[in-house]
Amino acid sequence: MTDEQKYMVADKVKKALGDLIVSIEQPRPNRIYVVIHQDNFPEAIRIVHENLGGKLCTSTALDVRDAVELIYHMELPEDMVLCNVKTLVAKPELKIGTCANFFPATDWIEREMSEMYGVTFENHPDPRHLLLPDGWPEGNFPMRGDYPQRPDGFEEQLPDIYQKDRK
Amino acid sequence: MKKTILPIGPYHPLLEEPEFFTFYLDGETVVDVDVRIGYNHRGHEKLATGLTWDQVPFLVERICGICSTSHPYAYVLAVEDLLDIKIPPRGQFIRSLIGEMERIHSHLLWLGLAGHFIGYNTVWMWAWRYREEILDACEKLIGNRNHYAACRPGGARRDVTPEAMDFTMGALDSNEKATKMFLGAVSDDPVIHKRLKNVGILTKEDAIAYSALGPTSRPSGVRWDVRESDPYDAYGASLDAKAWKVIVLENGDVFDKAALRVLETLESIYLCRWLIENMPDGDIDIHVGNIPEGEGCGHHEAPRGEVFHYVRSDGSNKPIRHKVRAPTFNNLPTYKASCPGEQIADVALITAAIDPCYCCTERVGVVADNRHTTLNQNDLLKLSVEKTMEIEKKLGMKSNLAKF
Repeated sequence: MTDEQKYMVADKVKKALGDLIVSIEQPRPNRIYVVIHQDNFPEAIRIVHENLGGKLCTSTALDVRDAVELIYHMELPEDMVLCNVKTLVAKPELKIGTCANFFPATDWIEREMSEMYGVTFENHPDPRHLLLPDGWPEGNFPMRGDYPQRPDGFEEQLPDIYQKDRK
Repeated sequence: MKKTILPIGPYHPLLEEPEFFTFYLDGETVVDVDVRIGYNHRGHEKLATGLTWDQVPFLVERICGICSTSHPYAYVLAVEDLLDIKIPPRGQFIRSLIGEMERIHSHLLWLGLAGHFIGYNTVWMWAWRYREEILDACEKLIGNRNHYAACRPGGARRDVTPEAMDFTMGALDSNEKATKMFLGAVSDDPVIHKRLKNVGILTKEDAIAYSALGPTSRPSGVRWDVRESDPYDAYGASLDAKAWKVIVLENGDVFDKAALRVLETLESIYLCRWLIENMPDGDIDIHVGNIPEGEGCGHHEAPRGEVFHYVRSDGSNKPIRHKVRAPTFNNLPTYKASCPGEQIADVALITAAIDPCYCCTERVGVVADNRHTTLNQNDLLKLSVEKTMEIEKKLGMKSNLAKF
């Protein structure tokens, strides 16, 4: 597939997503970045997955001061383009709809982003911890930019099994 | 019938990445499965934000001990995507060559262990004997049997010599013969057919829904290979020259997963040979100065599937965000689709078929009728071997499997 054909993919994505798009750019032929409002985000992922044949590479969360930025990296293998769907989830509510109910591939990564950044994915089918232990103190999100190296009262809140270790 | 809960995990000393499985059983049949991970969370993403751009490849190289060039490869592709640069052809060829050598030795490692799991210890010994030659060739080429440090942002880190390439050609020749022998053994043996066919089927729909990767998705008929769908380095040129082809199979069972790995090893051997024969002259890298503000994605087709890295820069000398996704992260949840309806004796095989780091089968506690029995890894292995022997008996063959 030539570069010109790859640049046509942006039009295809524009047509499929329609009014949901806040902005779209294609800095390189094989990379598209689409920005979506947080309320329409699960719908946009559904369209990219079901209508455009997008497969999920992974999702990235980033702490950007007033919000947490989510990027779902969706590969379109037939178009040979990586389509990155982005949104900003506003602090302090940090609530967004889940994609895991119709797209199981997002299940685990949403659990990871939720425990590391404190984003709540509403109606998630399995909202347990993924990487952190089950007794992890609430309100501690280690990948946040403002997370202190030694949070106050963190060790007292750990489950008993760690307390014994400490003594 | 009462539902039985079968916990498997959480540690296995054989390979890395501990996992914990809970199998819900009805008699001997698996009804549901739950996977827990997180026993070995090392915080690479956080650590990477404290290192400079040139130090990160050495950190991410230590994520996996087997596919150790895949992570730095994906990382440098992400940085080069951010910079929007093209690197010299010789650098591209060296990096792709190391990537393919790694695929060969990783698939042979899996083949050996899979043979061990079903009780064919000869396959194990032979596969690892030929893997040894590939590792020696890697040492000659780039200086180490593993952890090659072959990639840096802007090109390859070291050049390869003509003598090393000659040596590699010899290793590839003997491996081609061996791989063809394995292919014959897999397709001829009636016991392997009975044991692996129609076991742990992952349908095409499930593979797409779970976004399964690499040798887990391609046996299910999903054509998704990053080397083809987003060609980088020397892969685009080699595809144009028809040096190799993407293997896609139909059934999605354990047999197809095994056959695909053997066929892919063969394609990798052809590709390595093409890369060495067409190795261009010239520089191996270009100078990369300051990293500007921006973001980049890089992905490399590792032996187990696509490795994905995302970096974002704010113009300083460190990444402000570095996301790493290893293929097993997408492949593990497919157990929810492939395990239900299977026998316990097959579970060891199915959970091994995606080639995770086998860490699951160390301790098995069976909770049934208020009696606690604990099976360890050997017992589970025994269950698997016994099933193979049963099939041999039914086929009227003389069993020569070692008693465990």
